Amino acid sequence: MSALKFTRVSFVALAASLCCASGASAYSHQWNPSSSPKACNPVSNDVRCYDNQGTTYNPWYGVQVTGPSGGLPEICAKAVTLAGNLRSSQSGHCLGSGSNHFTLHTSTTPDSRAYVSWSGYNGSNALSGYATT
Amino acid sequence: MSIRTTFTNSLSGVHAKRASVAVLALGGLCAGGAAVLTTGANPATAAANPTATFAGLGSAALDSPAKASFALPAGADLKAFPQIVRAYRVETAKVVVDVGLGTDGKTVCITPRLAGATLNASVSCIGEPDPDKAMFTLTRDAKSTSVTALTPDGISSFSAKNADGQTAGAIPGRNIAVATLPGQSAITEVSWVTANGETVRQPLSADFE
Repeated sequence: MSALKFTRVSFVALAASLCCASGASAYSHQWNPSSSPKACNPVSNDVRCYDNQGTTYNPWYGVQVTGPSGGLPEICAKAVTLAGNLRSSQSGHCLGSGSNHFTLHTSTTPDSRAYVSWSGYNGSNALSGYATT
Repeated sequence: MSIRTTFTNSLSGVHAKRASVAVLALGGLCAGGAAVLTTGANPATAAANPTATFAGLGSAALDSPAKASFALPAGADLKAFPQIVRAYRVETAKVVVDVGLGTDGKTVCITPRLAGATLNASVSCIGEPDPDKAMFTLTRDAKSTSVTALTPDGISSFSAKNADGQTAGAIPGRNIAVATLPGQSAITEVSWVTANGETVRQPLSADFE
């Protein structure tokens, strides 16, 4: 019984994946020390590193932050609307003691501006941001 | 069988142990009780801690249904996430978590989502896991906030505290612990007990949400 339920849930998840992936005309931004223009190196603790690529506000489906592979105390991937409201997600926008976090939003509207940040001690680190529709 | 991971980066893959030694010694002398460490030191100034193991990944099937969930955001053209070579699923009352091991043999990822939800809400990874550190993230519904933690072998408990002063603890199972608190108040601190019996406390910023 539980195995059947498990399979059903997995199938739905996979189907949803295929559904959304098929909209593969995804628009994306990547901003980091290697991007043009460069961004996020160094980033001081508790400072937002905003997406500096292309159009500022977009219908972002998800935002990703990547930090050092050994992890940082906190890394965050967020997006704010023009009105300053944080885009919502069922999960947290932040990760503790990790190196890579991808936040999926509950919807793509309204348009938002993406940024990444880190926190936990006084210092600086290089981050990489990525946002996709 | 367990999966062993090894640090190779002396700067970023390091542990806050050196900075904590003084705290530990002071705590031991003055309190005479269990050692308490506080994280937050710059990793570049701390000593390396070499290995982390995850017994759950050692027994995971090579291609379980859990692996599929890591492909969910694939259409989003994920950057820097590894391919998952083995994965397993942990289900709790509030959260379903898939745990996966990357092809590099050391990166470990989790995809926690609300129980009953069919779509992932996030994917989180640690490239060089520290045996004394729990990786954690949040999941919320209308009535509660859960902190899902990936706990290396040896971490025996995990707790979360919110802005209302409420705390919740969880015992890890298959390297996953889920601490659930009522309401949606901010989580202000997490803590865990390492294999050495040390309690590590990590205060969280107001932006951790």
